[in-house]
Amino acid sequence: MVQETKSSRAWLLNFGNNLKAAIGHHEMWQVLISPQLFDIPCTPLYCNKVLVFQNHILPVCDIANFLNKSISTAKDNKNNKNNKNNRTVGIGIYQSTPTTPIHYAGIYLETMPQSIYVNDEQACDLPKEQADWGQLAISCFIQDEITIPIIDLAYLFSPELNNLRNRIN
Amino acid sequence: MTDIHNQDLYVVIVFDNRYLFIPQDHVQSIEIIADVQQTNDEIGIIGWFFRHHLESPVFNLAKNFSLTSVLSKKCEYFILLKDDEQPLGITCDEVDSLSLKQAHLFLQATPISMKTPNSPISKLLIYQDKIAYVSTGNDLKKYLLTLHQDLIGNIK
Repeated sequence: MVQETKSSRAWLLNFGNNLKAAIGHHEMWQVLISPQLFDIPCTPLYCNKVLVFQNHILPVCDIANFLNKSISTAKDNKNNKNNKNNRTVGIGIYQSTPTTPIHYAGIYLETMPQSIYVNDEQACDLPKEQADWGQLAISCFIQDEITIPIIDLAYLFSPELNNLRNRIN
Repeated sequence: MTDIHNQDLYVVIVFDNRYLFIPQDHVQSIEIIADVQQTNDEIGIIGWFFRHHLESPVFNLAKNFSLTSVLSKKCEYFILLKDDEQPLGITCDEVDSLSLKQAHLFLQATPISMKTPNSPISKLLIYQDKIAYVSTGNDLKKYLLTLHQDLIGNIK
């Protein structure tokens, strides 16, 4: 008898600069193309803009900047797609615990999310070269010979991570 | 409860195309910029306002909330934040007073992931198709004085 491998749907997210990660299929609510973004002063560089979504003000996180691998430069911002005001933003959904309310938050994306299937056999450890993802990654899998971390959106937007970053900075 | 103590009333100042809401209770007065004794040789402030034996430094904020000595041509007013010892001034291009309820405005907490220890911005709101910032008088005073001290320290 052949044992069937259980697979789950996920979204593969591309943050640019060869930075890719995945989230559960239920964790991406919508994708906005070139939404209007607003600067908020006195905020961390990786999360210094907001957008308005269904009358709610949502933070927009730049994962590449969070990992100190941002490719944006002053020249980029002038006239090409790296300008954050022309970028795609995914609206993620997360819950701190299963009994707490749902929250929404934005994440800059380089391209549209790709729907994929992941099975248990693809599971792997986080390689040392990708140790930067450690604080955000719940687990990892291999996809087309690339290790893809699965990120924890609730932690990315949590007070724990914010406190930790503020202490470091 | 009189209107003066109504927590729903805010003073809105506009500078560099930014809107900043401050509880009306925390604002002592609105003054015209012509009444500032301007100075070119003091770091971080654009001048002083003198009234009732109190000297108030007047600060000028840029859109990123840094202190700037470049006064906008549109700058016509400044507000004085209440303080028993030293009220502080903040310049603005426009100033208004409004009731959140009457204007159907709703404050939203600043997202947790955007918080930094020194930020004076505690809440946000959607106002005139933009995002406006909300700050208390105390948070603003603390922020301005810290920024001013840092600026003086860096130059020395």
